[in-house]
Amino acid sequence: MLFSSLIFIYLFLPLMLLLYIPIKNVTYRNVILLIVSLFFYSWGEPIYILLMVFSIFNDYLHALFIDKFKKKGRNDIARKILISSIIINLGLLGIFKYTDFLIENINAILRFDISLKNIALPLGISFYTFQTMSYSIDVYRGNVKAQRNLLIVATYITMFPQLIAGPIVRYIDIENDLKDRKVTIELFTKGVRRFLIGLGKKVIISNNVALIAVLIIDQDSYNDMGMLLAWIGIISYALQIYFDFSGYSDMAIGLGHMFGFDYLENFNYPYTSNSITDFWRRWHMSLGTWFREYVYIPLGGNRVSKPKAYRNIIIVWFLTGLWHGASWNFVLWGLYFSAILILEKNFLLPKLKDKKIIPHIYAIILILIGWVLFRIENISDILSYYYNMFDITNIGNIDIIRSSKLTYIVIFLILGIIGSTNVLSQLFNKWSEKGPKYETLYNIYTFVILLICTMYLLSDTYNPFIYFNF
Amino acid sequence: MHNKIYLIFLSLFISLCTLVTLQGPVAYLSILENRTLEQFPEFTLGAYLRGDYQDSLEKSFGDQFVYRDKIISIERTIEGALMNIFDPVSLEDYDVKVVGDRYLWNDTFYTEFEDSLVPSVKVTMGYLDKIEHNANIINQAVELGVDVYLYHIYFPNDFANHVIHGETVSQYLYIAYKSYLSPEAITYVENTLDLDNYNDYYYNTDHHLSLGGQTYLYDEILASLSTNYNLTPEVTRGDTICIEDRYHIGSMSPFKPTETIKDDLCFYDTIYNDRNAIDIPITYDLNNPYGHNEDYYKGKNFIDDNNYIIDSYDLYFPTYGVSLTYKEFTFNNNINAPNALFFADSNFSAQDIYLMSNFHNGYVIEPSTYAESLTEFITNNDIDILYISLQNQMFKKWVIT
Repeated sequence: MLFSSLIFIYLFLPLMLLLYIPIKNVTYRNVILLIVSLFFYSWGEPIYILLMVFSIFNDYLHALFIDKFKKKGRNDIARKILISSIIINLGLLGIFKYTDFLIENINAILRFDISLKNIALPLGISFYTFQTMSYSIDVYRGNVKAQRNLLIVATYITMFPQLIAGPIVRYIDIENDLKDRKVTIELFTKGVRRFLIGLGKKVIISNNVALIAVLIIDQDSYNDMGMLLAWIGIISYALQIYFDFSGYSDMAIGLGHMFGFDYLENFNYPYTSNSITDFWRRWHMSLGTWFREYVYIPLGGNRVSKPKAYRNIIIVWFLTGLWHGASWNFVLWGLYFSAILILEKNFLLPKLKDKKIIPHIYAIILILIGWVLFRIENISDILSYYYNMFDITNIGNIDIIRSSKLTYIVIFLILGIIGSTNVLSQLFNKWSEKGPKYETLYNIYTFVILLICTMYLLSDTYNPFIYFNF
Repeated sequence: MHNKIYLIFLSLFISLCTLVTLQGPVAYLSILENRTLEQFPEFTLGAYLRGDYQDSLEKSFGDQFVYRDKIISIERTIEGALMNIFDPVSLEDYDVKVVGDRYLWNDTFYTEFEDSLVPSVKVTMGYLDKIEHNANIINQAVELGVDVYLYHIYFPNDFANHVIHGETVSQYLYIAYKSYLSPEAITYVENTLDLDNYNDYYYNTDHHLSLGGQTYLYDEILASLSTNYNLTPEVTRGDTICIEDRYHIGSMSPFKPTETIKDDLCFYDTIYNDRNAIDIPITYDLNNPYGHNEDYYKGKNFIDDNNYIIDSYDLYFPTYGVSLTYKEFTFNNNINAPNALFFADSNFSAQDIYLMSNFHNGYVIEPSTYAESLTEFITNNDIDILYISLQNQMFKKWVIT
């Protein structure tokens, strides 16, 4: 069930809130949240509910044993238990997400003919696996105590707002909310508005600009595409993925507020970055935090020799790429950013430091080049697309957009470009400071978004969530 | 306080939408999308475990959503307006010339083309409201026991839409009529002109100005008489008949104008006997393509004593706007045949006067201008059959009550 679906907005969520809000006891609230989350998860994939239940028990028990042996001073055993937990979690992720990728590569390298397993990817496995791993690791590190209450662990792992496409919420960040939380009118309203803003980002901007991105990038061949079309295509995709994913994150954060949780932000206007280092502090922040906390720093981070620091960056970005999908283009995408980050660390950042516009142009161009790697799977197609992007001898035209009657999407591209900066949010923040009158205006604005989204959802427009694939 | 009001308002809005969606009348057909709508599924554990129940419930919730068609219509209107601003279609890009459809048989197809919207986008609530209104009037005839025949035919403009968009407006209008009309006692004559390919559109597109198409419709109506009323048509293809001067409108008829012979009483004409395109000699100046069309609208191209008369349209159709009655139209009047009522199209249905010979009494009403009671008309004139072809006036909101 998508958050951006009529059945979720008009049936599932109201019923859920009807059950949840009247109850004040946090334990009962957790019970409802757990049951509803399991129901939500089983909606799309009933069979994988078993996998989810297994994950709950696996991490619950591992954490308890880690805690137990740590208290006994047996860190060696605790470490082994942690490794066991990580192996099981990554093993499940590997089986469901990477089996066919592995087989394809074995077949290609060793000239074998092993048939693909075509295992369906359980929804959100990449997200909840990382969440559960963070819990076990934090218990091992002593950052949090192992939770003896199974209900709390189960509620944390299954919580539907962020279960399927993030943000990756660490137990440490919502531990207190899981034990005690209040839903005030202010927080609830904030959540509703945030949800509707996210819905609008997804349904109004992302889905519309996706029409252009799909039209251009999904062509059979990029021969003679022309520079203009190539850039329009990738800019559209950049906006599509940003509004898709940040829209989902907004909805998740908004739902979190409605249930009394305070999730950390996942995006901070990444396209206004002035370097790639800055971009990765603003894009999918929960994933960046996860890799920093649980991979980069344990490897030594940058407090090691330069070659080792570079190795660490490469490992982290190789894994970041692989996390996004079982395909080499994602790995290339990760490594591409690792190379830029190394260059920036060494000499680019100081040079960009005091300039105003150039760093932004530099960053956005590199980000867009990166999205080509991310979006197009086939290496020869990637090269062909790059060729078109930089072939100044062939500017080309937008006839394909005109003949598809999609020129009007330029409105959504402009809205997207404006919306990817903080201009609107600053405006609304200023409004809200001015008192209730402006609050009312903001409420009307979000209600209109709901109406427009309903209209688009009824028209059954393009509506997949990109990050569901990861 | 304002937050409380906001939340209460939002809750009420969402609850109301949900309740009406779940408890409101069931919708079976989407006119705008030309598809049947998903119905709420029955829950079974097997269906749930397979995921079928969830899929069906999601689809049906969207399909049964309150005021679904109206909301989609608004979206389409906006989208269509945006498309028209940003992507106005140049018909020349498609070798379709924008002139009067008198040039139908020239080397390049010419047609009038009102706008460039995608037909499925164009068919919005504005149309649907009118069609629902009109359909309810037709339903009155059904309730009185009249046999209603609805013919699915195409407009000349559909040709251009077909070439450019691969779809036509009239197909959506036809679906709309079908969805609003009483299912019983309506005979649908599907795809009367059966347009399957480019050539069909080129030659057979129907309207009172395009001759070929009328003959197809004529055949369909005669076939219905033969099948349903066991009547042998009085006038069939190839028959030469006498038509009173005042009713003959030359090339607007389904006849071969090139064979028209006239004496003091009649035009003697032969019903077009060939399903291929008619080769009409075009004598007017192609460099001034609108010239002839203007003449037509000024009523200058009706046939006179010698060749083409220049008398005004009103002279021939002084009662335009009210019932055009052919009761006194005596030739070939068949006393054994049923009484028929035709809903005329924008000006006049070319075939109607020729069809009169196959009925006891025949009447033509333009429902968008005849502001009287249909029920009374049917009762007073003992109407047995109502023929409606999907033509221009079907777009308009009827004033007949």
